[in-house]
Amino acid sequence: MKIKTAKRNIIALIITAAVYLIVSLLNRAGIVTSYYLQLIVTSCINVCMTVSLNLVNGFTGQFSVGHAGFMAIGSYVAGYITTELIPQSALSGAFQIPIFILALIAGGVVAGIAGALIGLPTLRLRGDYLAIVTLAFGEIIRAIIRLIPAVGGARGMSGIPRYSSLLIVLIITVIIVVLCRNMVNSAPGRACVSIRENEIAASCLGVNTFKYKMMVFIVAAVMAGVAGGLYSHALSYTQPDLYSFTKSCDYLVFLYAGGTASLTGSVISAFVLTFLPEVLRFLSDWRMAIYALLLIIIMLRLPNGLFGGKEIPFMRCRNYRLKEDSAKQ
Amino acid sequence: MAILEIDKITMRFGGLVAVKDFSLSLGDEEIVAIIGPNGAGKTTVFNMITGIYQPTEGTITLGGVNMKGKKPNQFALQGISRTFQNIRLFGNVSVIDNLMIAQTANTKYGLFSGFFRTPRFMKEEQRMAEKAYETLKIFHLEDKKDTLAKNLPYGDQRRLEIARALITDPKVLLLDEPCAGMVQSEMDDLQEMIRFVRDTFHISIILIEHHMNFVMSIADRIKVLDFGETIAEGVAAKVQSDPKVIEAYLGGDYNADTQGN
Repeated sequence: MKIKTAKRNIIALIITAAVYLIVSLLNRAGIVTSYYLQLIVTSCINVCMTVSLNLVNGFTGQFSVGHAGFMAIGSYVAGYITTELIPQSALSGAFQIPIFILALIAGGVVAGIAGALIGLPTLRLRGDYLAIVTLAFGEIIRAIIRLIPAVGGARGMSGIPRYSSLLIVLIITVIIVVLCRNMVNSAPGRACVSIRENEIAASCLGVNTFKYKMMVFIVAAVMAGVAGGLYSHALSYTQPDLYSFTKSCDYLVFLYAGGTASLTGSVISAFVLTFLPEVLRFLSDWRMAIYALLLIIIMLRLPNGLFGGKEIPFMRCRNYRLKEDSAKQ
Repeated sequence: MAILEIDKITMRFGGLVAVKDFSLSLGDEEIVAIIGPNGAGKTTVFNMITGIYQPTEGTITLGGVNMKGKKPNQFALQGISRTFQNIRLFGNVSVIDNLMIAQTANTKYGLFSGFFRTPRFMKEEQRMAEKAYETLKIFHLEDKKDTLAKNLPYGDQRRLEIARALITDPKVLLLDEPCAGMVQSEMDDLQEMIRFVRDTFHISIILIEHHMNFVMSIADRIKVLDFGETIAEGVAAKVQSDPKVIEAYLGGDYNADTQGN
């Protein structure tokens, strides 16, 4: 029901605000160091990446393996705008955030265009073509960036203003997760699921499968672009090697450990798996081995991931109320 | 004018001719059955009428529109809908959502409304859900609306697939072996349901079926395929006594006259 979903949204908003207040208070009190603050910001960015990848790989059942490529585009476009085109020094404080938001949107749009260019030829086909092309795309993007002196080539770009404060990152992460949730619970989202479940049956029912595959691929690319913009403004530098194939693989790991077709799983696993290697730091050399071991245990014990296909109530929406249902209650 | 006009369609896979010169003119509220031995090309005909295969030769005209080169979803928009021989439901999706998905092409909101849950979105969702529920009622599935489709019993899955095909408001419904795996009582129910569906929604139906009793009692017209060629067509009684049909089903040496003695 409409009201119920609205109520859940408000609760989510309150929880987000509470988390922000608590974390920043603890930070001021010196309990949460800026190191952990940075880790939370990174986790949020990883959440954005994982939920958007989930739209393509989990809900639509396609296999995209170059998600970091879109992140790279977003991070460079947004970084270039805030560093070179409209540098921080030229702005009074009040304009910094709007310019940052515009830069993020620009990064998302350019990443979306890249997504459209890749999707146009490959999404017409079925099977592994998308995986092959996105894999190549991730590498080609890095190669291209290295060849552009204006953004620092292989050295990367430094001196990007640290606009990605905890508050902004939290807000954008919540917006992206809510948008993903709303999409999944709408007709376009259901059409995407039908493509995963049975593409031939979907098209025989009048679902334009190519259109919806393009739609979801572009939406995911835009979200990854925005996340990339947040990333470069959190690190205050960006560099092609940050977006290597390993980065794309990280997101695949987050996605499949959390469970495909579950936004809850993506959010939780992105947080847990971002923190885990850092929490395990006291094990020094053994931490990545433990990390790998945990992933293996998840694969063996929970082959569908932590939340395979399941959602917490917030991630579900009631879009309608049937008379018969309310009569029963 | 016929709602579906098929003019001499031929399907070749390399050197193999799967269907040769198949023609059919389907009238309003008519039930036509296609029968024939295994491998006769019946499902290939369905795949051509729904745009999954492009016929090598011949034309398909649907509601006055030449469907050459059109995709399956465009066939669906022109008013054709089908079920599959091996059930193709959206298994990990609830029963009612299977019917919501089938209404995607008739949804009057886009991605933007979906993102922001606009009033129009809520209104459309309510409308589609009510329609889905009404359709489920016809097929006695309303109590199972929240079950995942893959967890339904076999007979329910078959009926859900028909419900899903119907909710797209088709003019022509194609049923590929709707009775497969059903017991006699279920078949009787299905027969009644098909008649009811035709009379209520005023649609024409083409069905492929192996159960002869079912076909003979429900079909206005029967077409018999063998090795891709149409060997007989007409009303039930005429087809039943056609020597070519008997030969196709029972083998070349079968002689209807001597067997009778």
